[in-house]
Amino acid sequence: MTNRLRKSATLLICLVAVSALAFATGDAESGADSSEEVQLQWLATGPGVQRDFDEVMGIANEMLADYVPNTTFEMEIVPPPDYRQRFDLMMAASEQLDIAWKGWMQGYAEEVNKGSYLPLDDLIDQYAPAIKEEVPSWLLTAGRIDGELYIIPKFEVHYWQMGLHTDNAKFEQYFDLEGWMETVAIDTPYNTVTPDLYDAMEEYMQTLRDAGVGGSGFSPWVFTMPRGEDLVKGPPNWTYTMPAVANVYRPGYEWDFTVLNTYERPETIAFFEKMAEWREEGFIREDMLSLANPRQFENTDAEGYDIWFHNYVNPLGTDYTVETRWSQLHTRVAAEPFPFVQPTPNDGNTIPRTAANPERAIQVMALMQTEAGADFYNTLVWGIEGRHYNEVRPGRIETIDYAGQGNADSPYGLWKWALGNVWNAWLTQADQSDDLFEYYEAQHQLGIESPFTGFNFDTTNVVNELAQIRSVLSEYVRAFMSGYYEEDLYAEFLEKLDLAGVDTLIDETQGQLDAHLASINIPKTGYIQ
Amino acid sequence: MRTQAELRQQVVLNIILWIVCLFGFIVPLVIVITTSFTEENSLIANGYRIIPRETSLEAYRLLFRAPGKMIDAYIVTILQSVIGTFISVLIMGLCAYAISRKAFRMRRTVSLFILFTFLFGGGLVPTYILNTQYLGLGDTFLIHIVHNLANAFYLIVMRTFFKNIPESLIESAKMDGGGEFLIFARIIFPLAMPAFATISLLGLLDRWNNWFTSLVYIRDESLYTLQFLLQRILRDFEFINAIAAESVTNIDIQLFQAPTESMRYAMVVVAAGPMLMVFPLFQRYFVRGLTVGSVKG
Repeated sequence: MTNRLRKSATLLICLVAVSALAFATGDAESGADSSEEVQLQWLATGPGVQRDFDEVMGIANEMLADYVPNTTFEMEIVPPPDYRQRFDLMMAASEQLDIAWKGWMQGYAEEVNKGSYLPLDDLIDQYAPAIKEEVPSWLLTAGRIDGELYIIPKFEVHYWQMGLHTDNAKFEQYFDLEGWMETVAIDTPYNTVTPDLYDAMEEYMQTLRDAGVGGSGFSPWVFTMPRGEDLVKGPPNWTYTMPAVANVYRPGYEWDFTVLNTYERPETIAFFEKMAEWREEGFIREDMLSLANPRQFENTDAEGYDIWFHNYVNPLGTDYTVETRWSQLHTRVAAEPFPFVQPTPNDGNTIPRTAANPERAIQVMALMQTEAGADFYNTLVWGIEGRHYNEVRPGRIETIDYAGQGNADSPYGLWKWALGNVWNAWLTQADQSDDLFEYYEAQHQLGIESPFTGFNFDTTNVVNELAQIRSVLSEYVRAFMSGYYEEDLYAEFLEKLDLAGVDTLIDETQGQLDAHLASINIPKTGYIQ
Repeated sequence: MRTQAELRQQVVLNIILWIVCLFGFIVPLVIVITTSFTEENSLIANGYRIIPRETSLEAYRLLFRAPGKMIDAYIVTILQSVIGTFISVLIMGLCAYAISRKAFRMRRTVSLFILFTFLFGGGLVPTYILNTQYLGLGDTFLIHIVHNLANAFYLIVMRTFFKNIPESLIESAKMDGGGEFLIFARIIFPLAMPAFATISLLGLLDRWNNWFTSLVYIRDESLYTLQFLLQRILRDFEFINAIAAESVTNIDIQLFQAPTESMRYAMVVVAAGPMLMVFPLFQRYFVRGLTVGSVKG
């Protein structure tokens, strides 16, 4: 080595060493002393920075002084598509972050395994006991991993009940409501779409066609995979499910917790066969497979679908709901007799490991979750009275310049579900009923209680298998759902799933599920609700 | 000797061939422009057409619904592209000139450092930490300029070009009393114009199309680059469409059904249009042999 090269190498090593030393010097600060002035850093999702954002933050900070003295906060709003990258970068750079929203695009178990979040139980018990008094324990259970709580899950609607959607005018004139309700009420051991239900749907579509008012048939993109809770959590893909599932059993039936391969279940194959049959009959659009977004016709235009599935919500307590969607009256009717209650930690609020003031952070989070902080929470969500909303009566407002939730062009209006407990949010013109939350609460009480609550599948051991399986799914499933099922093709698909390691995934899921059931004292056999 | 008829035949064949080639380039461009003016449902029902069945300005109306943001983004993008490219090319040119000169004793060491960064990048996280926590460039306009100011690959290309310039030119300038800066400005720069033009154009394109810097470093919307703003608008609308389709409401949410497909093409027109006008300005520099005749006998 020449002298010059040696000098260069030494200089390079010195530079690396100095940089490493510089990066390694961090400072851990604690906000336990309440007389100390601290500023919390808060990362949330929302529509981006709006015109009056700074002004509302100023007012909210003044309000916060009354609740948590000597504490201010700086909030950064990152829209959902960019959120994960922003959070990951802040964690990697060890930037101070005291409160962070966790979104559906982030794997909860993976983040906990990486050590992204601080455990919350001790902090809540010591500094914010009101959280456990007001947020139901069944919801907090969903956020526990190995008994430790790392998230306060979003407290909103935690049930699903399949509903059939259609145009209201056609529904009123041609839908056989009585016959439908009888079909829906057919008793089955577990949630599934029965052949009778398919027949009733086909009959309705045929009636519309005979009357000359038929649209483009059925949209099979939501709720169509045979029911059964998707046990593999993670960013949802367009199939809405993964190959590992277990059935959701109805009251009075014994649960079987065997994890199954979705695509080998007879219900799945029957569904694909039905879609192929409907494509032949013109009830599935011929061009569906080539559409970038096949759900775009879920409206009641002449080109729109006749029927499709989505969640059933009916706070008015009538036989079916009528709502306005894209200037057209639209109807939902129940397609399942029971809601299924499944709280998840898909989104909620956390205290990241880089928090400089976790004690203050948990106190601010308590304001967002409990009635004591409702005014502060609603100010953050809705902004300033007279400028961003008008009060209609206590607890109900009318937002200005937008309805529902604020967008990037609204002067102000954040998203209530991203910041805290939606139960404490004021109702707006977008909410159908004053009794909305009572209705949701009743549904939660009525529904099948999920034994999978708190089961957070850890993908660490099957990352490679999952990647390969998703690749196989993306190659085939969309075609099957669009009515291109053929026996030979399906056999080829199952073979590829096998090669991709679906059995390993199912074994891993079964192992983790068994451990979960044992931890909550649910027996593997003989469990009946 | 070819006959008149053969010559005419060859000319006609050539013309047909060039027209076909021209269509290969122009038709996709025309389709992009017409698609951006096509009504969304017509686009879905009838596919991409050169002449749309139903036209609509909705995609442009939505893109420019907040003209202030769009103007800010254009200003930021133009400034960062022009200033950034100018400074970047100047720095790379000076550096490449130095390491191309045999008289510079440290040229191998400096080249080694440059080559090292070419092969092994610092990675996103260390770069982010350096820029935000040490240099304080996060959420400032300067990050658009300073970040990626010198590119190792372009630097090596320039150095190689400078090496081809005859040393005798520099020596004769020195004998006439010229200093290094004067030689660079008066001799090297004019002779290396094709290299400067090429690197400037590539750098300008890189900077014009840059959205990642805004994604990682910028929180203030008035500092977004055009590409990032457009991308964000589209993603916001896709997200709002999805939310609107899922929500339960008794209000009319027609506002939220955005034409995301035609909007993609409108974005291409809005983003690529200015660069299509800039490209011909550089074209005349893409010539060879500028040094021919500069060295006599």
